[in-house]
Amino acid sequence: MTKTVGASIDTGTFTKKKSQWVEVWGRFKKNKGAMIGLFVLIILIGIALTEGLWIPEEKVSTIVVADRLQHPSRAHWFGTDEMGRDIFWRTLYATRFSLTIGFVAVVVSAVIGIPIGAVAGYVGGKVESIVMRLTDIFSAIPTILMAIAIVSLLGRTTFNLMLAVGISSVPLFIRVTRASVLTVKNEEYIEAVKALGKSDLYIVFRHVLPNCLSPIIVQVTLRIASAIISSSSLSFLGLGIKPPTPEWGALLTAGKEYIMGYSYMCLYPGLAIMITVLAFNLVGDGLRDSLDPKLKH
Amino acid sequence: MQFASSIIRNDNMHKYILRRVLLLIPIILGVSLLVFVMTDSAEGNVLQLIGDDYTPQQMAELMHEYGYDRSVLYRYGNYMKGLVRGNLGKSFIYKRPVLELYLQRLPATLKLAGASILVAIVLSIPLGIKAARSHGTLIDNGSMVLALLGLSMPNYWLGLMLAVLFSQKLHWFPSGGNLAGWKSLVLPAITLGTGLMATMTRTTRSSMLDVIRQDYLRTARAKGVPEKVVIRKHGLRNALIPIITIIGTELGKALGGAVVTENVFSYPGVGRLIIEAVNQRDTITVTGCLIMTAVLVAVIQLFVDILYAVVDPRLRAQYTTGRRKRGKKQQITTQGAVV
Repeated sequence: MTKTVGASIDTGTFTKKKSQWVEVWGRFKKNKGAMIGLFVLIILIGIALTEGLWIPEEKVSTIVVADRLQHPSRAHWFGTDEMGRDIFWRTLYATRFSLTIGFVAVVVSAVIGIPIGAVAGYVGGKVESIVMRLTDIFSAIPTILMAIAIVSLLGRTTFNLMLAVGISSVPLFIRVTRASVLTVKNEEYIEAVKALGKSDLYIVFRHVLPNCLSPIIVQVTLRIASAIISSSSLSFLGLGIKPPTPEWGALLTAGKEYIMGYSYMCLYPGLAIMITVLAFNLVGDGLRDSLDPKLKH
Repeated sequence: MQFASSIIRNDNMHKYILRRVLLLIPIILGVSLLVFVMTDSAEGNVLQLIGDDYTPQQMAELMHEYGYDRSVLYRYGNYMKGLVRGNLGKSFIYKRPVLELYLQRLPATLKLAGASILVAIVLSIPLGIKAARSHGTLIDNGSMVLALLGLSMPNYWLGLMLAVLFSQKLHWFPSGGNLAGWKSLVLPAITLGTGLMATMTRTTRSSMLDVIRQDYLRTARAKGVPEKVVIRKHGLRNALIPIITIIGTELGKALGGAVVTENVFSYPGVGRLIIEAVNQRDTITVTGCLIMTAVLVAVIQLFVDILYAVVDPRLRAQYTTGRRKRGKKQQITTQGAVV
């Protein structure tokens, strides 16, 4: 599957370097779902980046006892929580925190997983089989249990939560990278660089990995989606971020106590998670189809 | 089924199965070392936390009893010696053998995971086939949107919402526990099954789409084979390998996902036990449950691998000529295209 991508980049360098990405964008644009996802993502990232500028601080954190546990109304679109804080503003404000957790977790798994997978695939032989057997062992433990074990090992802080979610999906990145390195490493252009006497490290990072990018990009997008879900699940289990921190999982956890009678407290933060994850999934699927048109149905 | 058992009775197949079973050993050793070292060095184990209730003398004796005055590797060695004999140690909190606690909770979790996989299979395979057959129509697009929604929902949230709707508002099902027989299994199974269903619908659809375009399907139709038979015998059977793969991995995921679902519904399974143990810093119980779950996942994977051979004669031929496992795996990933 990556063979095609490798080949198209290869011919691309003869004409114009940008042309492949222009082509990909052309295909991506035609995918309605992916474009909707991208649009939503841009809005979400926009909120996350600028929320400090326009979301009034007092709406998010000021406790107004008189307003506690009010059902959604015109004054409070999503209702208020047990402290009288407006859930609409809190959900909006939580965007930055929740997105950051997803991004950082995936950066952690990519930074660890990609080099290991690339080296394993490129070097082959004993190194590869040892790495892959270790990966098998690591992935015999279901991801969420792995994350639980890591959080309980490191202690329950936000940073450790991101680390745990990140580490638990490292095997996935090792597998994906290795598989696509395997398809590229025997291509003629790699042999050509070898003939030039370049070092293996140079070849892996300069020539092999760039040609393996498309499955990795797709994986990163999809993993951000699942990292957001896993980290909020851990918060829900009491192992992640604790209320009253404005993070979707924590908002939901706080609402859980009042679920009987005040279910709106859980409804909206959950919807926010779902919309975000859906957007990442749409973009991920769209990227997969446009990066590798042969796979598209 | 007779077909299946006749294959397994095959001598070479025996050898293959034996080899796969032996491969479990390094996985179990590796997983247990990993989990043991991780949970063992977790900050503040219970012995340190309950220190106030004991005299220093008693404390030292306890530390010695659990091996905390020696190195991690010594404790691991001891632990493994026990594990081989089916002894996973004694819970700090419950004062009972961990294995006993685990086995007591296991049936509930297996019931939950089994029910959710069943819900997922029964709904997703027909839906996936239907979507593939009506490719590009409203049915196809609609079911793909639904599947994507199912994938994007945090399942604890879905669980809470289902509980509000069906338990609190409609009073159809209980919102927790397992005291109401099958009724208490309905909401947890739907909660856990939704994500699995989404993945399986997508896999079935794309795998069927690959097969539907093959020439042999056109040939079968041209021969006058009834459409039902074309789809079931020529189509589904060839599309089955990726679907089985996904059922295997999803079952593993279900065992993990059960942790969250069980905690939403206060369902007394292994997942709930693990979280209770983590919260009470009952390290030895956490270790035991994690290792047992990993072993269970590995065993399921083993069954899936054997099932491949039953379904796909080409893979069977590969096993029986004694090729290595790695070659086989690559074969499987390219399956859709090769068939």
